[in-house]
Amino acid sequence: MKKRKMKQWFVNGSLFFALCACANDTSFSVPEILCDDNALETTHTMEQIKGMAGFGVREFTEDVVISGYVVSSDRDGNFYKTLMLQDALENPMSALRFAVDHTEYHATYELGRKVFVKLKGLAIGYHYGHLTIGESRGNALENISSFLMEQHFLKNCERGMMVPKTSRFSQLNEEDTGMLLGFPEVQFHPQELQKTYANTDNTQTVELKLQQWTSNCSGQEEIILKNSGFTNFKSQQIPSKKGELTAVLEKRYGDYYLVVRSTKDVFFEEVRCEESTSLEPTITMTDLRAKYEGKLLEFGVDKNFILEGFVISSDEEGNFNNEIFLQDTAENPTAGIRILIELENYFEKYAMGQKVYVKLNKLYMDRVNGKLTVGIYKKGSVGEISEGQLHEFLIGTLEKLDLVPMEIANLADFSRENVLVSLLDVQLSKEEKGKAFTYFSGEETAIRFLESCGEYQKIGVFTRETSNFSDQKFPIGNGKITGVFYKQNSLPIVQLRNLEDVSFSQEYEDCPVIIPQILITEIADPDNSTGARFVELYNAGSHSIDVSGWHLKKYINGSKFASGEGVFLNGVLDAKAFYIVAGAAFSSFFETTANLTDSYISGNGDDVYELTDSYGERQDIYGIIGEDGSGKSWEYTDGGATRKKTIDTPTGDFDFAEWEVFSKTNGMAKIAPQDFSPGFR
Amino acid sequence: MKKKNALFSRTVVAVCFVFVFIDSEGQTTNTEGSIVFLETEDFLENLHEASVNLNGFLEANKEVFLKTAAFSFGQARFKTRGYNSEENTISINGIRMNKLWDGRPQWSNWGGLNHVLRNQLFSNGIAASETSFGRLAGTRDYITRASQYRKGSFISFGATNGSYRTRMMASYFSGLQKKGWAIAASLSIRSAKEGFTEGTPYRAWAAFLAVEKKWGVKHSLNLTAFYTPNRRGKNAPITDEVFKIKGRRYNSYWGFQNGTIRNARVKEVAEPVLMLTHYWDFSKRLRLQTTFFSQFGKITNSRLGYQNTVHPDPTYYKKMPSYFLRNTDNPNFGDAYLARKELQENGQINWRELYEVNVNNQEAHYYLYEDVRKENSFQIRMQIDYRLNPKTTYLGALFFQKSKSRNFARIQDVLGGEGLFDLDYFAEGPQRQPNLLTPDKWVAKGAIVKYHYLLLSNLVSHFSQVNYKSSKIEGFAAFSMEQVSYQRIGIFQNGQFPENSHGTGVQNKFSSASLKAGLLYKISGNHLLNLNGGIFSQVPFLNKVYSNSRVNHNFVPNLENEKKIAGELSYLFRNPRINSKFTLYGTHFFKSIENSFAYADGIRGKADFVSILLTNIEKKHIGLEWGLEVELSNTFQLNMVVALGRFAYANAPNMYVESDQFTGENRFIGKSFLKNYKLGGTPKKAYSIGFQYNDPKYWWVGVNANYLTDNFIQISPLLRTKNFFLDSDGVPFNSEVTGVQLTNEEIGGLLRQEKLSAPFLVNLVGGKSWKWNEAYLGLFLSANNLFGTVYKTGGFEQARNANYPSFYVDKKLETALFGNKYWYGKTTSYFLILSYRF
Repeated sequence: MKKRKMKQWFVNGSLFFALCACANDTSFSVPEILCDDNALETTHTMEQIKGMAGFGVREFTEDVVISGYVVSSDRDGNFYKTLMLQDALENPMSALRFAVDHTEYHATYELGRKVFVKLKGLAIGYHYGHLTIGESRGNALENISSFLMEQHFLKNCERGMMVPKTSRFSQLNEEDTGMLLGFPEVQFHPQELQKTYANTDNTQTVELKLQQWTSNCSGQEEIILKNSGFTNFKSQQIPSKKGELTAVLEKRYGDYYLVVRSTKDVFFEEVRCEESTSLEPTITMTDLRAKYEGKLLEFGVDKNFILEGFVISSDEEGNFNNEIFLQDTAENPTAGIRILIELENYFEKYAMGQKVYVKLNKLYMDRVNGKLTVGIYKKGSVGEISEGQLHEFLIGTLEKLDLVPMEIANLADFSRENVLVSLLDVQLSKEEKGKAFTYFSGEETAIRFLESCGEYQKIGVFTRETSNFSDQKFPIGNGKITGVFYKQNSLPIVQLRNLEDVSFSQEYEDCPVIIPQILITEIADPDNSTGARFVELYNAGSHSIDVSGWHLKKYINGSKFASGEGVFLNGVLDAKAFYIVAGAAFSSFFETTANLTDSYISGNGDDVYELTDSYGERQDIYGIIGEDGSGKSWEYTDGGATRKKTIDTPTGDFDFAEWEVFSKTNGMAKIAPQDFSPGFR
Repeated sequence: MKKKNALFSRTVVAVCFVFVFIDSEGQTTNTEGSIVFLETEDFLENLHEASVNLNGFLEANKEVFLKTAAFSFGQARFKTRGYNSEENTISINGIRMNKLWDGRPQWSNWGGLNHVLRNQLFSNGIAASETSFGRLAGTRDYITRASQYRKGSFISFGATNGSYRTRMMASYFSGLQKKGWAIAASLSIRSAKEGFTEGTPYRAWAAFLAVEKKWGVKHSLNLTAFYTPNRRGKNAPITDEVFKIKGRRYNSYWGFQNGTIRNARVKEVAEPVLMLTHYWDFSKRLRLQTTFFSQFGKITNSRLGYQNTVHPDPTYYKKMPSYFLRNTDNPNFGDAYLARKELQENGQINWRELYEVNVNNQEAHYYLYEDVRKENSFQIRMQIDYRLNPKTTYLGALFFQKSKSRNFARIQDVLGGEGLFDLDYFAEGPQRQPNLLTPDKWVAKGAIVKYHYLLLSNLVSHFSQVNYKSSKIEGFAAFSMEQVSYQRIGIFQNGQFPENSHGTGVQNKFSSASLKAGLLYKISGNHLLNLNGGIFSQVPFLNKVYSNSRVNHNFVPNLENEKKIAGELSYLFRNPRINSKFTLYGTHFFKSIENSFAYADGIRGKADFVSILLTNIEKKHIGLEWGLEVELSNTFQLNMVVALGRFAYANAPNMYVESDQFTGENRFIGKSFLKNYKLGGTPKKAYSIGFQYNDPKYWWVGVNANYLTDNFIQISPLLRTKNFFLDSDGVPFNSEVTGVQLTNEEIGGLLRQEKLSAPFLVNLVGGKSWKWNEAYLGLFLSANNLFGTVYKTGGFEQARNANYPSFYVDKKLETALFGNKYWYGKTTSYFLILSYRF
C-alpha cells in the first residue's frame, strides 16, 4: 500500500512539474522587422506627374508609379493630413503634395523614408491653388482614405538624411514648392519679435514675416512663415537672432510661404542684421525743412531721401501721443521735425536719445499748428503713419546718445524749431498760479503761460489731455523747464515729456510789475501830405515792453467814441526805442521805417489819439476826448505836436503843458520830412 | 441499515456538491469581479461516511436558494440582494482577506485551492456568524487546519471551455498522525491558450501547504502557506456596432505576434500568504485562537501605451464605420465600407506594425506598461469562544491590520523601440511631467513611469457577539467597532498638482460602530420564523477616500462613513419531503460613495479626462427570496426558486469632477438626479425550476430552467446633472426637436435607462461514481446555457458626450459613435471533471 501510494505521488508530482514548465508564456519573441524592399519600377518622374494636371480633378487610370522621399512630418502639428514627397534626398528636381486622411503619419512614413506611390486610383487637382494628389470623390479632391494608404504608399528600406536645398527668398519658383529648402541669413522681421509661433489662446493659423539678408547685411528680402494653431510649439517664443532656416515651400494661389516641421528647423544663433546698419542719410534736417514752400510737400518715390535724427519726445506720459519729434543732433541741434505715427507707447521702440532713420519715400510734409510735420497723405495735409507700415519709414538703430537740451535764457533770439530746450529762470505766470497743467478735469488741452521776471516774453507750456499729469497742479516755483520747443502763431511753446521736465529749484518770485513807460512823443500832420501822417511812440522805460495787443485809437472831430478798434500794435518795443505808426505815404517822405502802416492814422489836427495797453487801459493820450481840437490850444492842423524832452512818463490826462504844438492855423505849418523827427527826440 | 445509509449519503452528497463558481471579469468600468465564485466540485466525498465536516458543509450550503443563486443565476451575473462583492466577508482561519483598497475579496488569492478550502463556516446575510461581524452579505471562513482534513489523496482532471481549458489538481492529507503531526498539501494548475472569449490566455497554478502540531489536547500550532499566482488576458466590453460585425466572442485586446496570441491587457495576481495559528482549548468552555498573518506580492494590470501616434485599439471610435457616417449631410460611405471590412478581416492588434513603428523611430511610439500594486499586509488576530452556560455563548475577536502598498506604473516592454520620454503628451508645459523631480526622463523596460505613491493603512477592529439558544428560541446580538487611518505618500511630484502630490499627505482617520441582532422563533418543529436586523457603519475604503490617488493627495469631499440599515424576515418550513424558505428583506444605504474615471466632452463647456465622484448616495434594496425543495420520491427532486428585487438610487447625490481644470470649489458640478434609476449590473428578477434524478446505481442527472429579467445597464451619473441641460452660462439649451427650451420630459426620454433583454437559460448537470478497492473514481459534467442563448450580462453608458448638444448629435445617428458598451454571457459552456480519490 505504501509503495503504491508513493508511486502514485511520484507520478502525480512529475506530471505536475512537466505541465508547469510548458505553460510559461510571458516572454514573446520579437517579430523580425525586415523592411520590404518593395523595389517597384517607377514609370514617371514627379515633374511628369505635375504635367498631368489639368482643369479640375484628373484621375490616374493607368499603372503609374513614382518614388519619393518624405519631406514633411505631422508630429508637431504642422502638415496635418498633408504629406510632401520630393524626388531625391539631395538636390531634388521636383516635389509632390498629397492629401491623406491619415493622422500621425510621421510614425509610419518617417522623414527621409523612401516611398513608392502607386497612383492608379488616385487623382490630381488643386487645393486652394496648391497642386495636390488625393482621391476623387464626386468631382472634388478628397483626402486619400487611411485604409488605402498601405495600398498606394509602399515603404522602401531606404531611409536617409534629407539635405535641404539652399535657396534665397527671391529665387523661389514653382518647381520648389513641396521641397525642403534651406535659407541662410534669415531672421524674423523686427515687428514679429516677442511673438510666439502661434496664438496661445486660440487655434488660428498665424503668419510671421521673415527677412533674409545678404551676408554683409546690406539688403534684404521677405517671405511669410505660416504656423498652425494646433502645433505643440505654438506657445514658444520665436528666436530673436539670425541664422539658418529649414522649411518646406508651399504656395496658396499666387503667394509663396514657408512651413517648418518643428522648432528644430529654426536654428538662429547669429547676431541680427539691423536695417539701420545699411542706411545712410541723404539729406540734412535743415535742407529738408527748407524744402517746405508753404503748402503740402510730396517726397515722391524716387528721390529716396533718408533723414537721420534723434528722438527727443516720449509718449510714456501721454503728452506726445502719436507724434514723435526728432532733432538732427543730440547736442546743439539746428533743427527738428515732427512725424505723425499711429503707434501706442512708441517710447518702447523709439526711446529718447535713440538715433533713427526716416525714409521719406511716399511721405508728405506740411506745417501743422506751426510745426513742420511729416506723415502720410491725408485730406490735403498729413496724417499718422499706421503701425503696420511704420517699419518701412521709421527705422530705429541701436545707437543712443544722451540728449543735451539747449539752455536758453533769452528766447527773443531763439528761432530753432522742434528742438529740445531748457528755459532757465522761468515760473508760472501770476494769473496761472493754482491751475493744473490743463484742467483738473483733465479733459482738454491747454496752454499755461510762463514768465521770466524782467522779460516781457511769455512762453506757453502746451499739455495734452491725454497726458498722465494733465490734471495735476502746475508746480509753483522758479527754475528750469525742459521740453520740445516750437512756435505757434509766433507764441513760443514748450511741450513737456514728463513731470521731471519741470525743475523748479528756487522759490517762486513775485515779479515786480513792470509799468510801461510808453508815451506818445510826436504827432504829425504834414502840410504837404495827408498820407504821411504819423504818430510816434517812445518807450521811456528801461524794460522792453511787449506791445502786442496795445491799441492806438483816434477820436475824430470831438467824438466821444473812438473810431473803431484802433490800430493794433505788435512786437516788442525796447527800452528807449521808438514805435512809429504812420500812413501809407510815410515811407515816401521819411527815411525812418514805420513800425506799422495804417491809413487809420488820419488825425488832421483836431483829432484825439489815445494809447491803450492790451488790457484796454489808457496809457497815454493826446487831446481831450469829446472836444474838437479846432481852435483849441492843441490843434495841430497841417502841423504837428512834440512832447517836451523832459517828459518821461505817460499820463492818462492830457496836459497841454507837456507839449509843443504847431499848426498852420497858428502860422506854424510843417513840411515833411524836414520839419519832423520821427524816431528821434 | 447500511444500504439505507449508503443511499442516504449518496443522495445527500449528490445534492450538496453544487457549487460551480464562475470567474467573472470586468463587470464594472474599472474594477473587476463583482461576483466571483470559486470553482469547485466536491462530489467525491466519501459516500460511506458522514463526517462532521460533511455535516458542517451541508449545514452551510444546503439551502436551495443559495445553491441556485450560485450555480444557475451566477452565469448571468446575478447578485444576491443586489449587493456588491465588498459586502461578502471572506476569511481564512479568521483572517479577513478583503482588500483595504476596495473592500472586496480578491478571489485569485486562493484560486485553485478547492480541495483544501472545503472546511468552511458560512453565515448568510446579516445572521449571526461564527467568525466575524461581517457586512451585509454574510461571512465565509475557510479553515485550513491540517488535522481537520480527512485523510486521503485526491487527483482530478478537468476540461472546460470557460476562462480556462484544462485543470489538474492533486492533494494529499495525512490526517492526524501520531505524535500530533498533520500535513495537508495541494497543487493545482489551470491553463488555456484562449478562454471562452477570443484572445484570453489563462495560466494559473496553486501550491498549498498546511502543517499542524498538536501538544496534548490543549495547544496546537498550525502553519499555513499558499501561493496561487494567476495570469490571464482580459476582454473588452463592446458596443452593439462591434457585436454586429464581430460577434459575441470578439475581443479587441489581443492580436497575433509570430503566431502566438498576445493580449495587451493581462492581469496578474501573485500574492503569497503565510499564516500561523495558535489554537488553545483552554477548557471545555473557553477556546482561544490567535493568528499571525502576512501577505505580500503584487497585482499587475497591463495595457498598451501610445504617444504621438494612432490609437492602437482596433475598435477606437475613429476607426469604426459609424465615424465615417457621422456627417449626415455628407456621409463617407467609401471609408465606412473600408472600415467595416478592416474590422471584419482583421480587427485585432497588429503587433508587428507596432514593432515596426518603434524600430523606425528614435522614440518608441507604442509601449506596454503595467499598473502595479505591491502590497505588504500584516494581521494579528485573537478570537475567544466562551460558553457562558449551556445556552449562551460569547464570541469575541480583536484584530490589528497594517498594510503598505506601493503603487506605480512600469514599462513592461518597449516593443522593439529604444525607449521614450515619460511625458503626458495631452498636457502642455510643466504639466506634462508626471514627476517634476526628474523632468523629461528617458525610460525603457523596467522603468517606473506615470505615477508612484504609497498608501499606508492601519486598522483595528473589534467584534463581540452573544448567542442564545433554547428549545424555542435562538437569538443573538453582535456589536463591532473599527478604526482605520489612511495616509498617502507621493514619490512622484505630479506636474499638474505640484503642491499637492509629493511627500507625506494628511492622515485621515475613520471610526465606525455597528450593531446587529436576530431572533429565531421555532413555532414548531416544522415552522421557523427568523428576524434579523442591524445598523451598520462602514469606514470608507481607500479607493473611495482619495479622489485620484495617482496624481495628488486630495480626499473625496465630504467624506463620511457609509451607513446602512438592514432587515430580513424569513419563514422556514421543513418536513421530510419539503424544504422551503421565504425571506423578505430591505436595506437602505446612506452616504455611499462612488468613484470612477472618464473622458468627458462638455463639462461646463470644456473637455477633459476627469475623475468622477459621487457622494451622499442613498440606495434602497428591497425584495423577496423564495426557495422550495421537494422530494417527489426517493429519486426525484424538484427545486423552485424565485428572487424578486428592486435595487435603486433613492436620492440625488452630489457630484464632483476632478482634474487639473477642475479643482477646489470648481469641482462641484451639482446634484446628480439619480433618484429611482435602477442599480445596474444584476438581474433583479430571477426564476428557476429544476428537476433532479438520483439513480440508486450511483449516477444522477439534473436539469433546470431559469429566466432572469430586469437587468439594467449602469448609467453615467455625469449625464444626469444640470451640466447636461444648461450651457456654461447657466442658460438651458434649446431642444433640437422643438426649437424651444428643453423640457423635463424630453430630457427624461433621452436619458432613459436601458433594460437588457432577459435570457432564458437551461442548464444540465450529471455525474457517476465508481468504487473499487478503497478508491473512488468519479465523473462529473455540467453544461450551462444548453440552447446557446446570446445575452448581455451587463453594460454601461459612455460618459463622453457630457452635455445635451453633443449627446443629441450622437444619439440621432443611426449608429452612435459613443453608444453603450456591454458584456455578454457565455453561450453553451461545459465542465467535465474526472477525479480519483484514494
